Amino acid sequence: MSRIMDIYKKLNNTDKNSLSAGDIGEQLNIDRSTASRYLNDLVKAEKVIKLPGKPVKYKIKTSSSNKASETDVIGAGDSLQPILETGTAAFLYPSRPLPILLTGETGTGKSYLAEKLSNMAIEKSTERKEVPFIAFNCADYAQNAELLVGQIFGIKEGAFTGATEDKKGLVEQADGGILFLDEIHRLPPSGQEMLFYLIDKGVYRRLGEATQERTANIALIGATTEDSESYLLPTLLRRFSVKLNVPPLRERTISEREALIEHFLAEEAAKMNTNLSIEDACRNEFLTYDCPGNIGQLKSDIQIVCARAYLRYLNKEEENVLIKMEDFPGNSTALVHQETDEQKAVQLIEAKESDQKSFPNIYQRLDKGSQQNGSDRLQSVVLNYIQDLTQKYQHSGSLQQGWKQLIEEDLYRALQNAAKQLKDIMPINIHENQLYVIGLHLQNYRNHLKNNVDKAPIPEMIHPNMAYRQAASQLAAHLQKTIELDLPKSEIELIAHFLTPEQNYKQASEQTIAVILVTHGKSTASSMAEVTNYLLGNNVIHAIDMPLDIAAADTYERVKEKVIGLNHIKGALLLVDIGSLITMGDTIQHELDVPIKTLSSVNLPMVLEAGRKSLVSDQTLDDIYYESKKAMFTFMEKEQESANIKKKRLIATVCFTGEGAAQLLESWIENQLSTLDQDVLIRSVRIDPNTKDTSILKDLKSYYEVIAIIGTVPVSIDGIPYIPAWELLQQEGISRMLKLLEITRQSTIPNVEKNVSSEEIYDLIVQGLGEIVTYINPKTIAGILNEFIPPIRHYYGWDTNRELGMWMHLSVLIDRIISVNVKGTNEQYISSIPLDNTTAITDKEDKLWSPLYNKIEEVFQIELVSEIRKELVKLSH
Amino acid sequence: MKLIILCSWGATSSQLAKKVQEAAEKRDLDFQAFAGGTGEFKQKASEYDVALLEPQVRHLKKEVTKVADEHNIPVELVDQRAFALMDGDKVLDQALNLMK
Repeated sequence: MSRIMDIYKKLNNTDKNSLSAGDIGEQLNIDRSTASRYLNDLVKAEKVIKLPGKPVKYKIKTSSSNKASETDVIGAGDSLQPILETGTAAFLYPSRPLPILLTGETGTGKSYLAEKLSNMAIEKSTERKEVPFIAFNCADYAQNAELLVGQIFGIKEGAFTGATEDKKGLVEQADGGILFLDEIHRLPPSGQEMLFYLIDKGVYRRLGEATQERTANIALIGATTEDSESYLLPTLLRRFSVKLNVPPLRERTISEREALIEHFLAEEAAKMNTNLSIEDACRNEFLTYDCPGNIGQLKSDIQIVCARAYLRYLNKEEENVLIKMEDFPGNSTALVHQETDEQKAVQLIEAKESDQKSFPNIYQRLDKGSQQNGSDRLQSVVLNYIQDLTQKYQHSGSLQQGWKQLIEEDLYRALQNAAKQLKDIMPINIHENQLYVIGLHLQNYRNHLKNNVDKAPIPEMIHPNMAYRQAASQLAAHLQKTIELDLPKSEIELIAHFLTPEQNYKQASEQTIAVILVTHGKSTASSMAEVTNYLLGNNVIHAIDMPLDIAAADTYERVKEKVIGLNHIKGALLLVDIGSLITMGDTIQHELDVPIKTLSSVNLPMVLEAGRKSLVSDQTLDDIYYESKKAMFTFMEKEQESANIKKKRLIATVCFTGEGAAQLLESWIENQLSTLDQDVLIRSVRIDPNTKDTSILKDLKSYYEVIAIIGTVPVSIDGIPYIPAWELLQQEGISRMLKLLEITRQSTIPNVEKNVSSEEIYDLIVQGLGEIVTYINPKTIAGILNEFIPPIRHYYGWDTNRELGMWMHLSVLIDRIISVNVKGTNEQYISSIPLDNTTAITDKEDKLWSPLYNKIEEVFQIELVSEIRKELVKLSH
Repeated sequence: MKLIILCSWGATSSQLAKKVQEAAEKRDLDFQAFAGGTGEFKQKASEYDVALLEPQVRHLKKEVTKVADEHNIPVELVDQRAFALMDGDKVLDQALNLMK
């Protein structure tokens, strides 16, 4: 079956430059025409070239491509070249690629090679369509053989308990492409059988599927460590017609190893965005040291030395990033001082443009707090870094963006600089978020100054702690110096209060009753808990996921451990999804002697209610249990509930003055409310910096359904989530507020029905005008408005509500003008128009409205005097 | 019970108030519907029990609500559809519901 490979090898190994089909046939003892057919296949695959002449001769195509591409294999020197060539040839085997088995020690780069081989094959293949490459490590599911096989071949619904839906397998996903199975020896015998059946016949079945046979055309690459080869069934082993042994690092040539080191160093240099040097001694050590973990270890060792060198550079111990011998992992310090720094030969690695922006970058992290030092810190940073390398680190949203919209650039900068410069001399630490809050406050102060708004002087509120007052003065002095912002004494005193750490926020309430959520599925419980914890701003829900591959007994243990781990609780409420979990609580209660109650058929309102109630002090387990249970039913019987008198919804905004940030937030939130939330009231509330008295909020709570408290002063009121202002300006903060609005809406259905869409306005207005107008024809005016209003609506940004109102207003206005014309009471009418002197029509607005006015004046034979025009513009804003 | 319907200067609201008044009389209710502009509401707020705001002045709702709150008067936007159709019955229902 691998005759084509034999031919390829023959061509490769011949001492002549080229061979004819006849030569090949003779040497391999096959028919000349067969040899010729294979040779032509190899030509098609661009592995071999034809030399014109008689007879036609064939020659291995030398890889002449110099261009760096995805297919370049780092460190592919002499020891790797044959592997690569055989591998690609196997892939390009006509009609169907040959399965490849890669063997080699851990860390030799089998996965890397598999991917590169695939890229090469994809690049060389003549077909230009998307070729999938699916990689999978069988060790990931090694604990559950059934699930592992299911993962690869797919699962039919009901194949085993928990298989609730049909699931596509990897084979299906890789159809027409390449499937790479790492640690293939982990496959159970049944899975191996299915695999060789697939290799032989190109057919397979999903797990639990008896009748339907599926077909897939895949190129298979398996990988295993050499000593594990014995775990493979001989039948499967035989099917891998191409077996490639990836040599360990110690067997690779020195130049290959050099290339690898060079590559990894360049990668690091790109991340640091600065040039990087390495002492020759250290470099030699890398070239020669015993590296049992092979390439994988080499890479991480290089990352560690780079991190150490960079830290020194940051601490200004050195001007350049220089990797020294002492950085070498496990190096004894005795070696270090044999040479002086000057004598040491160093090699420079230039920073390349980094193409891995989203990759965790240790150097930025080290940058952040480089004034601190100590080997503990270094170690933890390096450890975290390496941990993140495997987990993929994601940058959080751009907090600063949001603030830049509200705070003027110079103020924003000055505050940031202040924090940096004053860090060492200030008696306290300022958190970044506190700076933003102060920025918001000062911006408002500035706005007031600019607009000459008369402001009642704020009473001087002396902060009891001298340190905060001192810090506030320092900050004010800095602002005075840099942006000439003069702050009165009272403002400076106020800043002291802003600087007080947010002590009563975050876990303000000590939970005495734990709420534990246990549901089936990989992440059902954790995502429900995430939503709830997020909305309540507290980690109140403990989630335990039950993926399908975890046994019930394991879940029981995990819940038990969770309960044991929560000290000081007086009880626990278990929220579970299906009945079989209900008995778990009772068993644990017996075993641990902790009161436990269980609620099943959990839904989000229940979780929310349980979370809220668990934050309220003095709630007993029974209270929480019944409230949560009720929440489930109220969710189902919304009708009945809305018959009760429902409190109005309210959002409270808080700050120290009640008129600064709180008012700014108030109007901002107002603009964020959708039409479905027009019933929500927003109130700004002053929180006294000294007493932190929240009685006003408590009063509001008894009259209104307070959805959230938003502001610059952290307050905690039982059961009401607090959203700090800085959070609101990030996308996730807004969505948290919107989510809270959404879940507190009484009922969305009638509201949706109530809303009029833009298209409906014409018909509705014609009908409505019919009820009230005397002189005009509703259809005539509606027709005119339909034609002329759109640009006006667009200019002022009216929503449907405003537009509808303006249609009605204009129509009634015209009807009224005709009426006063008829009755001769014009003057009286005009004088009743409420106008103030401030209203002016800009040229732009004049142009905007005039087509409509002209049309109306022409059709209805009336005059629209300037008072009326002004009134319309005033109303439109 | 006294309702005030607010618009910019009483033009459309007086029409709607008339419709609501008719509906109330049909039902034999002790109910009076008035109309007015948002500007003059400040001075007269205390005379009413409930206020409804027409859609063209919905941007003034915050201002109006502040005044209304001082006098404990509930405020809402007139139901859009009822307003467009000048449906006195529906608006009356809305006002009565608001008073509950």
